[in-house]
Amino acid sequence: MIPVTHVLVFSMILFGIGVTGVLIRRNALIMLMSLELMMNAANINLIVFARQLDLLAGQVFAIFVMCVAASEVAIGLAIIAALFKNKGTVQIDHFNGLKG
Amino acid sequence: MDFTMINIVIPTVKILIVFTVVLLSVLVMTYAERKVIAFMQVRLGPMRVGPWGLLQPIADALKLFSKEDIIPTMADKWVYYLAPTLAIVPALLTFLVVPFGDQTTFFGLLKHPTSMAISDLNIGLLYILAISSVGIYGILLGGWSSNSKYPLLGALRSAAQIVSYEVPLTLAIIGPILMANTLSMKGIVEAQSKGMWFVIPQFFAFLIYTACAVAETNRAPYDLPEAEQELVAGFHTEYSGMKFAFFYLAEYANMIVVSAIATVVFLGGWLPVPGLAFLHIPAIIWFALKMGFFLFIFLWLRATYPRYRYDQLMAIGWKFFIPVALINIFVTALLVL
Amino acid sequence: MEALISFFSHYMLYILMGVTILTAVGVVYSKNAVHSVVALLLTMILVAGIYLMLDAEFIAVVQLLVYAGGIIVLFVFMLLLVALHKDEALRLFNTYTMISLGLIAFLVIVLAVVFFGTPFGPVPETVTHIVKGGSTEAVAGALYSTYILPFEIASVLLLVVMVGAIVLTKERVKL
Repeated sequence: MIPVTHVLVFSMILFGIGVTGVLIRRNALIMLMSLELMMNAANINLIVFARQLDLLAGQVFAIFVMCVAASEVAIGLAIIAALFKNKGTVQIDHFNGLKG
Repeated sequence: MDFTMINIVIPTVKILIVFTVVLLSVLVMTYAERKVIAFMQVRLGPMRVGPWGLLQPIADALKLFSKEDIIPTMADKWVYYLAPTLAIVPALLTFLVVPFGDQTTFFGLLKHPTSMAISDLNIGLLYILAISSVGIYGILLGGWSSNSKYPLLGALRSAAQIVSYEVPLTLAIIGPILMANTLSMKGIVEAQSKGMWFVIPQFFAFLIYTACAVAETNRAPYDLPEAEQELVAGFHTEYSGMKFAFFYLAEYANMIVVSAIATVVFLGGWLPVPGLAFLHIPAIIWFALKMGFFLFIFLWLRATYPRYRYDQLMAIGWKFFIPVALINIFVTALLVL
Repeated sequence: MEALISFFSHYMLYILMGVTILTAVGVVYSKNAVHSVVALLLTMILVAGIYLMLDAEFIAVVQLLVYAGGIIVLFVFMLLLVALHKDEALRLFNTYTMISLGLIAFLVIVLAVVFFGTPFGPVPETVTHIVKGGSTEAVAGALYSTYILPFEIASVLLLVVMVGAIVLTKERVKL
């Protein structure tokens, strides 16, 4: 087995890539995908600590995280679909109706 | 041979044998399909190549391999190449856990008995469900990357259909899992060897599974993704040559996989038919016979039923199969408790 | 041959992690949204492989079922619907790209230093609670006894999401 630190650094990088995607991309769908990357990074941490500490709680919580991720995507995509019907685009630059 | 070598050589040989047999049975399947449907429609079917047209599948394969490989100009090249691979790899990977028979030494050839499955995972059934859910991307991405309207429509239909029917398919398998108390393919067959085959107590689950399996593999009467009267050929309209052959192979490999799952979960796997055990037919022959019976149902349905309309297809999936499968799970759980 | 096998079993996790980072970068930096979603699919499959290497094969299979079988199909479906309309050529990235990249690199480096400075202790060679080679029963036992309340809450969440998604996308609703 490889040290837990290496896996943690890896999941940190994955999380960083996800944050980058949310911050710099303009396509709402790709921002949602980046959110999924971040969720996965969190899950990897849960699993590796479950292995390290020999506790099942980590694996159980990973299942809950997946459940929440699925809910988030379903609602997120429904919102994007509604926005697309309204504005005809998924670029978030166009969703500035509340800007003065 | 030392221990590690045996651990490498035996799985490698198993993988080679299973893949060869699967690919050969796809050839046999294409021939059987044309013949069976021809006989049901009082025709002769292929008769030209070889005696009774027996060499027809080989001629078809040669034709596909030697055809020109056309790529549409506006196609997305990367995804266009990736799609056939994504279709066939999951279809072949699912054979990893299918137990074709009990543990055997191959007539004393090996010192220790080895399992007839390439690998006997203890979450075998979940593994099959997980891997086969990846197969849909071949269809979706193939339809999108062709950059043409009929493939796109076929792909969208297929995505909606497969996602909808995956739910009742999984729910139908849960009943037998509850009765067998294990997810291992081998364990499920062994549970049936103690009692009766699960097709009897789980008859409704078996019916739902059969219907959903037909829908999952995009076969008639659920073949809307490739309804030739409306969509030319569906998601693989723009594919030709080898890449088309890959989609074709994937479709038939998927049919064989769902038949194998039905055989293991409902029809008692390699166990002999009750009362016929005295014939001493090898386990693998029983397995092949049961799979052949299930594959015959596919052809039978295709020759018998007209295609569903799209809204009918969705309605029957969501409003009939899922509730019935849920009720089946409730009743099974109560009885098992 | 044996050297090769021991090499792979020892470094498999590193190989998986490296390829996962490449595909994750592909998700963010692809110009075409469909390429992004293909990269996301590969990332999810590779992450399932990582779970497998960390003795969590039930989670790995659930990852494949939930992400590859469900979530990404939704993404592709949505993308195909959106891609039917030609979007005008917009800039892919916004003006703060360099600043965001710098900040995130800083965050990753700081946390990596913290991780390397923390004594996590040696990795246990054998695990007892996480039954090696079959965590399904153990996870199910914990899920339906100790964690039954969060499990029920999760099911209510899914019900709410189901209703919400239908309400949001139904034709008559005016936003």
